[in-house]
Amino acid sequence: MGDKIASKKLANEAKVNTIPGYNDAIETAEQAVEIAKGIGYPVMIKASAGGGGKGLRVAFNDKEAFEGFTSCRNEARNSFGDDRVFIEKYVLEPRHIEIQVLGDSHGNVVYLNERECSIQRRHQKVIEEAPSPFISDATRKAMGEQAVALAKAVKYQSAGTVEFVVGKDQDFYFLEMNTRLQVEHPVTECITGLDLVELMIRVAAGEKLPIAQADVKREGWAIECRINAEDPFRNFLPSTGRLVRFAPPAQTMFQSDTGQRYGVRVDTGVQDGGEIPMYYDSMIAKLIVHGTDRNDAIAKMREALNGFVIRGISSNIPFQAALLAHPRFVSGEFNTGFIAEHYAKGFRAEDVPHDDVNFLVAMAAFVRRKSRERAARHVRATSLATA
Amino acid sequence: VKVGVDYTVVVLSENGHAEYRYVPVHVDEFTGKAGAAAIHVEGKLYEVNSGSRLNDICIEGTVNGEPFTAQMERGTAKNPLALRVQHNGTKIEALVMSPRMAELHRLMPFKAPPDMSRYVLSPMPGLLVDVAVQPGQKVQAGERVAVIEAMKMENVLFAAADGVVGKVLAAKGESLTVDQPIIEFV
Repeated sequence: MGDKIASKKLANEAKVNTIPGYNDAIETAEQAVEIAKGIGYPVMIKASAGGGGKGLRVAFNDKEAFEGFTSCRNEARNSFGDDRVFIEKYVLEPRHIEIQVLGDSHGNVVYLNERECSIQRRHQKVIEEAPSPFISDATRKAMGEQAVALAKAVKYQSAGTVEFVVGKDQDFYFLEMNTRLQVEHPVTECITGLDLVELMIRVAAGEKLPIAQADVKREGWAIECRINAEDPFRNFLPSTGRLVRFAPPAQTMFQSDTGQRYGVRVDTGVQDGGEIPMYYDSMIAKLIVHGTDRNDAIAKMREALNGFVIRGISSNIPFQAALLAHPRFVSGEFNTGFIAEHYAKGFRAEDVPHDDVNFLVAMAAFVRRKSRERAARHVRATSLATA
Repeated sequence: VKVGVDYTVVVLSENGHAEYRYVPVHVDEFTGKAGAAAIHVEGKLYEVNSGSRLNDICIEGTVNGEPFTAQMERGTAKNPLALRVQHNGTKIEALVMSPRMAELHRLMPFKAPPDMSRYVLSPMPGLLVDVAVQPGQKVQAGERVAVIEAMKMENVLFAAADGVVGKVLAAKGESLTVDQPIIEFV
């Protein structure tokens, strides 16, 4: 399933939706219009050799398809010396939503609901949540059943993820399958109450899945923020060095313990005093919260981020805090273009609006007053002792 | 030592803005209970309850009945007397003083942060592998001026605006620290 072209072919055979398109070079504009009609508008007309926005057109009707094909082809010929042009379905306001599946060696496969991973920066996921604030129960069921069909078609026996791109009309298309445990698996563990790692090991040992599809739960709302050693104010450049302080917020949920729910969990491999070397990926921790509903989960995550102390290196915590406070994020209306669109010029200090900055001023006075109070007590005690 | 109830918080920087803001704050007597205070800031009342200790970075408690977590440190790189407060992704640096001290503080000359817009600064610690310009050379915005290697990645620095190179301040092969000037424009 690792090979994208082979997996798309398999997906077609398993009757899984793939992005409709015409993968042979198109000769005439009339032919292009016919193909576009067959696929259904909007369509994307793109040059085989295209790149950097050149040789790319989006068409919403026959006229645009006709003109788009012609200009796309001219552009391709002039810019790339290759005038082959293809057409595929254009997904409006695409979301990245993936289905967690789990299969055993006895032919059983279940889907463990979806994860919404549309908050991405340069194709790297930043925030993941489960369930998705977007899809309907019917879409969830259809996506889940197609994911299971695909896993069954390849006799899949482990935990895996089937990734889909979902359009604004809840139309969904298979992207690829990840044949491994993913970074964002804890959000699925929260809402289903299952330990994915344990189940993976059990099915690998030949055991039968202990649950049927009807037993799969979807309880509460879980969000995961990836905590990265990078400086969001310097265009997210990686940050390395000594972790002078590393104190995550108090944990109330733990890996491999499904008994504790509706709390805060921290998955990490670094510790206070440790070194962040320059050789590895910048992700140093995953902060996961489980709430009763989406607003509760957002509130829990904001508090958890406020309590996460990282010193010595820069982290993306201010960026995560800004995302969690963004009205569009809170409304659940976003797509994979969210970060590029809202932080087009990069992330700046002004992009972290606080609804009441004077609270921070009050805290400064509070602490100053407290230390004066302590000093006064100290002086009084000393003068009494010497009197 | 006089504890006092009236303070002035001098906000030194707020969300990246480096203009001083003088905020009078009234802190009511701690009513017997340690860690409780009624704080008035510009007409708004904050009733804070917190059992956190002065040396904790995380200050937890309630404000007007709602739970909060903020981060607080004493001493910043620029000013050992300043407090740094962080909450919901926002960070301020502030000095807290008596109203009289604040009055005098206003008379102190304001030292504006140096204008570094004429410099190309190293955005990260790394090795300067190439300087692509020479003194006297005209460069246009977007032109490649230097290359730094860090984390096994080559990072190309581009000119942010049109200009003429005045001095090259770092040599090829040199190890750079964060914010070290590499090139000065005229």
